[in-house]
Amino acid sequence: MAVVCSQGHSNPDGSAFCDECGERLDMTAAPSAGVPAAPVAPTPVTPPAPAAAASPRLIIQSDNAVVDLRGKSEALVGREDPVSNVYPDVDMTPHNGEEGGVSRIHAKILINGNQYMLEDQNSTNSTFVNRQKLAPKTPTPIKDGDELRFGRVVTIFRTS
Amino acid sequence: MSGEVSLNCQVGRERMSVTGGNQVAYVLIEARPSSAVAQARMPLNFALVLDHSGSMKGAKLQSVKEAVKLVINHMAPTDIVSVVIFDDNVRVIVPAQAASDKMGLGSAVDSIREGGGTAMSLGMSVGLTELRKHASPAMVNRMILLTDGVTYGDPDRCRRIADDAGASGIGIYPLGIGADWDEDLLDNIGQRSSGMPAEFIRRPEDALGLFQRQLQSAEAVSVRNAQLTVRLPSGVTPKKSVKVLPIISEQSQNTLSDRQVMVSFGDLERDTPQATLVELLVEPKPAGTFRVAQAELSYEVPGRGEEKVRSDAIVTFTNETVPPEEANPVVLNFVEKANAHRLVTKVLDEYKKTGKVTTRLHPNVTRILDPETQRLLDQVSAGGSISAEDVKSIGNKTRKLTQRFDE
Repeated sequence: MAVVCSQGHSNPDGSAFCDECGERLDMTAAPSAGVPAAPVAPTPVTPPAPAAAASPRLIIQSDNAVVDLRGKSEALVGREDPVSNVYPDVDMTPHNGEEGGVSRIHAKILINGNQYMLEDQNSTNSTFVNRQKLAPKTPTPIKDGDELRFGRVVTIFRTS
Repeated sequence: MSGEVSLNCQVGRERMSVTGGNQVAYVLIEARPSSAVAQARMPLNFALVLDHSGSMKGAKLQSVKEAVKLVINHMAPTDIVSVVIFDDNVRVIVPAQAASDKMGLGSAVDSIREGGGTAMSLGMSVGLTELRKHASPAMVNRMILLTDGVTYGDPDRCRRIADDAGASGIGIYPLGIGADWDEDLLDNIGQRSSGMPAEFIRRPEDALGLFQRQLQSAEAVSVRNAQLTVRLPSGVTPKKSVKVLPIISEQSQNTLSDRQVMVSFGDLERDTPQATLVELLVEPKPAGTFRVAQAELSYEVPGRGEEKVRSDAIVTFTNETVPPEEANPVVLNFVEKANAHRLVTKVLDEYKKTGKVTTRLHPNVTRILDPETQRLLDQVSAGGSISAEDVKSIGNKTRKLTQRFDE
């Protein structure tokens, strides 16, 4: 769980100021909706969060970079390769994608309103949601706070 | 009987939402000597350790000598004083003795002439020897260390002497004069010995006032050797710990173990509260009320031995959304200033190391700084340069942010 400042620095929930640039953050952490990210934690029974203006994005854990997915119905995660004409929406090259085992065409995030799915594209090193390996070419629902792993590159999926 | 000191924990938010994720909790822990404390002044044991290297020549050395004489004149006849001068050598001008013969002591100080280089560890080591001749738990034992320059080849030795001094209950209070002294080393010496980080004597004529303040602060000591221990339950880990009163100083990460935070408050002075801000990471909690930290302060009362006082930090987790207005404004104010201090220090460190600044500060950091500091920071952010004195002055002012009363 994290709050992200306007420059994209990620801070733990409840932080009053950004650790990196000092921006004032909103300390209100919304009560949990649904399953927490860690699969071992007990599931609090709470109603689903109201449909707020969603702004889907991926936060790359190693460098806290934020990739905005707003306005897309489908986003390709992979590594840019002009030779084979692959230009992913989420290019992992600057985030150690190659060393991290990200395939050029690794996975797709499918966006339909407030519904989000992740589909592995027969990647070499697999795609994981909360440490669970996805079967290739099988869309799987994802939600706010999920940990998405492409090969060894860890990201957090956020919508709120 | 305890009750000489009151200890009080305040949390950033008394109610927090159950989120199923880790959350930050801020705890402000304040120790305040109570008014019931005996008004008796503890006897002082002072060593004045002075740099008289060639660069001190002129107004600097003259005003320091005047300031030292003033301190001696104001000491009680039963207080103990010694004066040690160093360049690349060291000399005891006044061996530890009662501050009763004001005339004789004054002319000894007058005899100081400038000359030589700077080997600070020599001065510190001999000053410590003079202090130890009379040091006792019933006295306020302090070294006032004045320098205008960088010490050559012995900073590690200086740090070790500071550790030794701290272990024997002797605090070192460094004063830097001019533009060339090494603020990182002097701050470090002060903190390691449970004294204070360096004070900056910007102009020679300021020396008198700063030496006088050293004397006043020592005379206000009411309990000694105060040590704060913050114990944490499982599922709560410390993220940061910052001293916020009387001045801001960040604690090194290695004083934070998984289950507790230790902070040395040193001497507690009447009318001067000391406070530490601890930032905790709290693992997911169900709804309910929890103690997130327990603070304990131990301290010595002259003639009576050790006393202890405790206080708890309590947070209630709720399934409701907690509005931001519920946050404690006093705690948030300290969080804001500690944050500004940390980031400004980061900018200055970067500037000192590389001559450039890449860290971009958010306007809500700079807005709480004084206009001169804002202007200088804008200047370095735009690729310009500022003087070594400006760097010291910004550092000195930023750590005093919590002394300014505002909002």
